[in-house]
Amino acid sequence: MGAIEDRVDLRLWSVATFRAVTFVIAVALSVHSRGTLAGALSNLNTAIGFGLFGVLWTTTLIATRSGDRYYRRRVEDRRYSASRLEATIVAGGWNGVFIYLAPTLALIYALIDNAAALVIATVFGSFVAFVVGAFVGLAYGIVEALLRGISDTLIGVNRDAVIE
Amino acid sequence: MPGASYQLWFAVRYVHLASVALLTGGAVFAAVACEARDSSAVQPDTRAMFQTALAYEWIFWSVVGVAAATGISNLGLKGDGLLGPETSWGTALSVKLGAVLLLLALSFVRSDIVTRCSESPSVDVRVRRVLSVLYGITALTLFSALWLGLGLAHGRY
Repeated sequence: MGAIEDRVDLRLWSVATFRAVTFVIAVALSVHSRGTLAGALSNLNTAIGFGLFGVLWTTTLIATRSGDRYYRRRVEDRRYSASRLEATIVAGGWNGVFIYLAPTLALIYALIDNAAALVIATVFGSFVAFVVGAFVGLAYGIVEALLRGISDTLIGVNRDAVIE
Repeated sequence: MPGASYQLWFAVRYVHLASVALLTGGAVFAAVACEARDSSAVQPDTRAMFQTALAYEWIFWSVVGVAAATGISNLGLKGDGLLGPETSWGTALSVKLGAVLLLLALSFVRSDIVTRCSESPSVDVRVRRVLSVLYGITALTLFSALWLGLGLAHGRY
């Protein structure tokens, strides 16, 4: 049982880190291709940059775990057909909310002293962040399905026959 | 490195290089570990191979985040030395970032195979061969990224 838990933990860790790191590299590549990377990075000092990456890595790990649990609940419930794509969309949505609530809300809290405005910003902002995150999750779900398909092809194994 | 201390610049570069060196050396070791057990016996024991592979995967996914964070920080510390995409330096940076994305995609596949197959009581030759090749490609991609990074750091593009 211990070995299985280790394996699941490694899967969670690798998938979460894959998502966080590819997101940062893809954003950097996109900003660089527009010729604005130097300007974007000049707005960050080293400590803030590391801090933001740490927040992203942590929230992605938590969101990936929530998506994994969602998937496992679906696997156990015979009324539903489990979908990793759906679980990744859910994880992306939650990550959007976590990222929004972590640094953005702190900024809003510092700038706005009206409690009602703060509640609206929290609820409405979280909803928008969930939708945006879900679209990012959809993109990741498609890419990861493709990569898992490559893995299946390489070792010649039907994924349905393997413990997930 | 405008506005940044030499110690900070040095520390960030050191951690970045040490991380990449660890990932590269580990990939070479894992490739050899997979291949070495391939021809050792008719029914070789794959537990040691998977112990090595699992250890490398844990290290890889922990260290690659540190390497990415310090790599981006390195770019930030270059300040005005960070040239646009239309320059040869900027093109080399685009190629390097693209190579890192490919490396991460490859590593996703590699880790997926390791986590799925490590609990199997018997693993055929194909899986060991595939893992050996994947670790080899991982090492080659890292060596290529290191080459590009050296040129970027010293403005040789």
